[in-house]
Amino acid sequence: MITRQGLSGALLFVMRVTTSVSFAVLLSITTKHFELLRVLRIFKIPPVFVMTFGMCYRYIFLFVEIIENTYLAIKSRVGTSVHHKKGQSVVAWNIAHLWMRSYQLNEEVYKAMQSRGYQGEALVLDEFKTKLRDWLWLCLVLIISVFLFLFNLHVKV
Amino acid sequence: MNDLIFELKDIYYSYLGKYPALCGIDINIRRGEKISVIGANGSGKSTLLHLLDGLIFADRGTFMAFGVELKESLFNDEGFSRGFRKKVGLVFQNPDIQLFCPTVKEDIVFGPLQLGIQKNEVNKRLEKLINILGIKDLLNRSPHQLSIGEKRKVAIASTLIIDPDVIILDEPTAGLDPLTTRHIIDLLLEENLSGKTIITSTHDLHIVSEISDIVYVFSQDKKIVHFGQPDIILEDTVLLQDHNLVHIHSHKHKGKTHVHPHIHLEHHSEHHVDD
Repeated sequence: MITRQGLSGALLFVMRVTTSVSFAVLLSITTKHFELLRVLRIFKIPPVFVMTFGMCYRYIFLFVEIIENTYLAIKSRVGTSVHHKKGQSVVAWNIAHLWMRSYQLNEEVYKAMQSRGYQGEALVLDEFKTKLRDWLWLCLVLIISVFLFLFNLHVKV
Repeated sequence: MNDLIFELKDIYYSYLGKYPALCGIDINIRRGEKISVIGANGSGKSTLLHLLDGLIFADRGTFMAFGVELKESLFNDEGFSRGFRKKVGLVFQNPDIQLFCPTVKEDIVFGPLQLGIQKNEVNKRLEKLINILGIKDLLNRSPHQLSIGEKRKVAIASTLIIDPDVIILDEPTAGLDPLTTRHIIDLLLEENLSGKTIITSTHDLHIVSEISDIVYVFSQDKKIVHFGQPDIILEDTVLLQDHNLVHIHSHKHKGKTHVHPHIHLEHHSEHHVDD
């Protein structure tokens, strides 16, 4: 049986998730990805994790390009319609090919890193400096947070 | 010019122990020389360059670099590894491999930071290089957003910023437009004039005479079949034809069919061998 309390609880949960996801999406589409990576470094996330994350992001585009080109190559040779059985085998082959390619890439990129002196710990040029507007923005966010917290205390759902 | 920096004697290398990539290679490279390695695809050029950069190690033979026999165990010593990487820089054939950082700027400064070069010095070198290569506007862009020419320039910058004594380049002008090719050659010649050793592997025969004092020709059986001065090598049409560096070209001209070897060197100086 659906109760008023259960319904409001579920609604609150859905709204919280939606708000959190919206903020995450808003952050990722309004901030450049390398700035987000820099922030991770400021929050003392281990450099190797941040670097791996950055490289994953970087090489996703290369793989997307490979997939796009493969799709176009198929289209140019067989047109738009592929029998579903053939389609399955093409997809399976592509997954295997991408796996092999990523494995090769892993070895080659490591060589490229070694060639430029990488010895297990990545050093980066840390250039982040806070400006007056950053502090003003932080104050504003804190004030809004405190206000919302106090507001929340007085409102019962 | 008698200062020997690389000395390879009877070098053998194979992938997975069963696919030979280098078979009995002998090369001597002196400080300040310009060396070119030419040969068909899969003749072992890239493998040789990786070996010279201390990324792979020979199965057999001796490789002396800067008077020391180069072995994998030496690179376990951080001091030696750093010293070697500061002296030798490699520009990879595929810039997508070399550019692995989120932004162009991070990619360019990656090398010197790992090698312990002071940050203000790194910034100074960065400023100089981006002006020479004209890549200032690319600094905050992601490498995947760049064209092939821009990627190659950034890859070259990421090696040159280390300021190595030996610059190794794996097909630096492949797929580039003439103007970008010209920029890259001019940059390499300038580096050579300042005393740096330049080792290049290429298929572009029209750049060979400019960027080489000595040319090594690799064969399909992963051996050096010939070496010498570029003008002598480039005139040896039979040698180039035997190693897939020129092709037989047939065309119609004034109602007659002409067949002649086609060297991508100087199209206007081609001569017809079979009119």
